[in-house]
Amino acid sequence: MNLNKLLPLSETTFYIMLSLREPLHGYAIMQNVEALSNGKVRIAAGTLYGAIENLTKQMMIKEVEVENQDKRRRVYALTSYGKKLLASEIERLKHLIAISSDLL
Amino acid sequence: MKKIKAFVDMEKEEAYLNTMAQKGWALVKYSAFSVYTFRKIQPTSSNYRVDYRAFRYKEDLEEYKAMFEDSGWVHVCGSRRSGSQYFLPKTDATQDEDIFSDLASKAARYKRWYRSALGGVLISIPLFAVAIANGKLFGYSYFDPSTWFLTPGLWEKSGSDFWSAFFLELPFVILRILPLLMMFVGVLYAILSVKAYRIYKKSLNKN
Repeated sequence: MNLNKLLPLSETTFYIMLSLREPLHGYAIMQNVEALSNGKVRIAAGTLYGAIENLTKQMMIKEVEVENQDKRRRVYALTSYGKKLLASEIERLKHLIAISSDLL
Repeated sequence: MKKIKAFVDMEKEEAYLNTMAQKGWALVKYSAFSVYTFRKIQPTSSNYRVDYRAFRYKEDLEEYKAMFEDSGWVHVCGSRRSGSQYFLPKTDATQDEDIFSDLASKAARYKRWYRSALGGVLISIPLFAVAIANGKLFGYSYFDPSTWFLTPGLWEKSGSDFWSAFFLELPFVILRILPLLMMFVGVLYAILSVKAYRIYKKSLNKN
């Protein structure tokens, strides 16, 4: 799988993937993204549902089983592909920050 | 109260539902053939939001509904196969909000719409082929309604003789031309999906 095709990630996708280092359900992702971004990024339900669907199709995240699971609230986490993708996106961003800090 | 209305543009549909609420009618149900059922309420300003999504399993719809309920929306109506899903704000926090937070995902609902409409078109094509073959086989033409009736000498009859023979055969005629009706539905779906595709492209390029 060519992960570079999926880069760069949109801000929404980046925050969702960053949140899913640990298993979370939909609404918990929304809350986590809001907290991580200091309230700047608020993902609406329709957008999140579509993003989860896309990331699942691309095998970047998958549904996981957890204890005491509420049937209506599926829990998702990064797959190994997803972890690699997130890591290479972070590398890409680091590089951008590094070169711009050198130049400015 | 029931109303029949057809929308492709979901923003117009949302505006229509808000206008109805302003007049004191709240949406209860959306059913097949674009039938909207309303009930009388105190006139109110509303913030209806429409998504288009069909689900393979009931559990998928349940997860979808839970995600909206958790984040401050009431799922007003919409079933697994209805496609259209209707939402209203549950709290003040979502009173002026949208169910989408970026343009691409807001536009994607039209993509799902035209894809499912294209499904209807694809189904109607073989039906039309069957219809043409049937017409050739049994000697009637879809373009000439008088050939749809096969009762010998029907068109020479008059008065009650004619009408009793006419109505006796009518149910069979309807069955015979059913593929033709399906074809009309197919053409309608084709027109609607082109319209949805245009709105999709347009809403992707907003701003």
